[in-house]
Amino acid sequence: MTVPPEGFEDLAPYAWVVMEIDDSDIRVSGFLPKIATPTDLPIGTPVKITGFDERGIVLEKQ
Amino acid sequence: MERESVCVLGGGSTKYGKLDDSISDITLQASVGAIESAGIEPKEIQAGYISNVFGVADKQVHLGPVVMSNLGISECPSLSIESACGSGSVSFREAFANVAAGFYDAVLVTGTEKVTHTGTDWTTTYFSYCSDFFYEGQAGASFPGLFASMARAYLHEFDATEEDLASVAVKNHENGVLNPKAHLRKKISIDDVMDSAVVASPLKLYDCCPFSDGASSVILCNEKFAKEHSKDYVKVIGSGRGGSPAALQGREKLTTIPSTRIAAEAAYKMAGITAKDVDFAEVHDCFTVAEVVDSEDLGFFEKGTGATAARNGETKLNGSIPINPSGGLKSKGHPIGATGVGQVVEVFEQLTGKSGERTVNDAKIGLTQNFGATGASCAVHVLNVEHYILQLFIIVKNVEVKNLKIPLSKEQAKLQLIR
Repeated sequence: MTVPPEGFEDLAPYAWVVMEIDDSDIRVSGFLPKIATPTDLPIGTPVKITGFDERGIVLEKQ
Repeated sequence: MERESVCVLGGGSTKYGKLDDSISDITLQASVGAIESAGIEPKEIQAGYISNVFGVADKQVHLGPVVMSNLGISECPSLSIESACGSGSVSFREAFANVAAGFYDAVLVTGTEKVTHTGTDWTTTYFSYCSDFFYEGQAGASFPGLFASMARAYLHEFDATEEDLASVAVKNHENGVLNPKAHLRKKISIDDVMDSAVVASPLKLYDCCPFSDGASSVILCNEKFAKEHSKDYVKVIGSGRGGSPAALQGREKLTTIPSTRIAAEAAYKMAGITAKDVDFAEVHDCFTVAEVVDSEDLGFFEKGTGATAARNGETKLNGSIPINPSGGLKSKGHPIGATGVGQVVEVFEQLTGKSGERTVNDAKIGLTQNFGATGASCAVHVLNVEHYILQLFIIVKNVEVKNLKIPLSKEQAKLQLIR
């Protein structure tokens, strides 16, 4: 998100992502901080869950 | 149960854009436009269907009784309908179903929205409430962010480029320039799109439709009523609705919108046609990638080839399947409660010779597709004209001085040919 919605201005840059849980067909979405450009997060990048707060599931790159 | 044939008898719209009048006023203006276009009196309307999402932004919800009162028919029943950006087509569908079932002979369907005075921040925030907020809006995903996810998946999965997506915006702006009621009447180039500010990669400012104010209205009736009142009517021959998981995470793929495919299949089945029979379509292009995905889900192109088709000009006014001759949401504008009804107004005007320079030649069947949020809900309608357009070119000394388009019934068309 280059232009974040209201309330997220201080959190930019970040990515909102849809990820697939290993060995399952289950998809979940989450918040991944500090992603400025698509090259920082190519499709297929492994991520892990680090927490859960008012943004929902919070992730980081593995 | 046998269904009544349902017809669009008239249509009217305000200009789309930044409007000064109140939501009550623009709703009335569009409704009066439809009533005058249909050539009927307000008292002949038996019910009203009013679609709107953020009436609260202009301090007026429960718009149904307000517009009925302003039309002088306060005792006429009405229903206010909200289904996010797809509110207009859902409203149209409910009206269609009630006329088809024989409950009413003639009804008013008006969609309306007034948000621009609230500013971009407020509007973006409130629109995000139309997503599955727990998983999306609350996690910082605005609609540009959600559609950017779809665009990134599309570009990853298929042979398509950001320039291909940009070609959708360029084409819709070309059409919008020809539409006097469009919000953004300005030609743009691929470079303009590519050089515009990134909102949520890969979507840039010119990949996104604007926030708009506006209202659109149609009169729906059974065929007996239509024949008694006007020769300019268009039949609704197909109607379908569908749903998708509200959150993108619930979908098997991000490169298709299940609700569109379900609604289209139902509408085609009811109409007894396939996608190949459609002459042109008004589709939900809230973002350029949406039009590409729509064009595939509606069956106009194979999955993964919609972007290439757009780049090759197949969706232009003179292409194999013109898409969004009105300019679409991208250029005509997106007053969210009105958009679905506005699409029907465009198809009605196209099929009755009232579209001026943006007329799709020889069109008989037009389609509308309008969805809510990222396609969590969708409605598709197929409309068909059974009469013909007599086009007269009046030429004086080799110079065309007049180009007239006159709708004729089948019988009138036969007479003209004999003469």
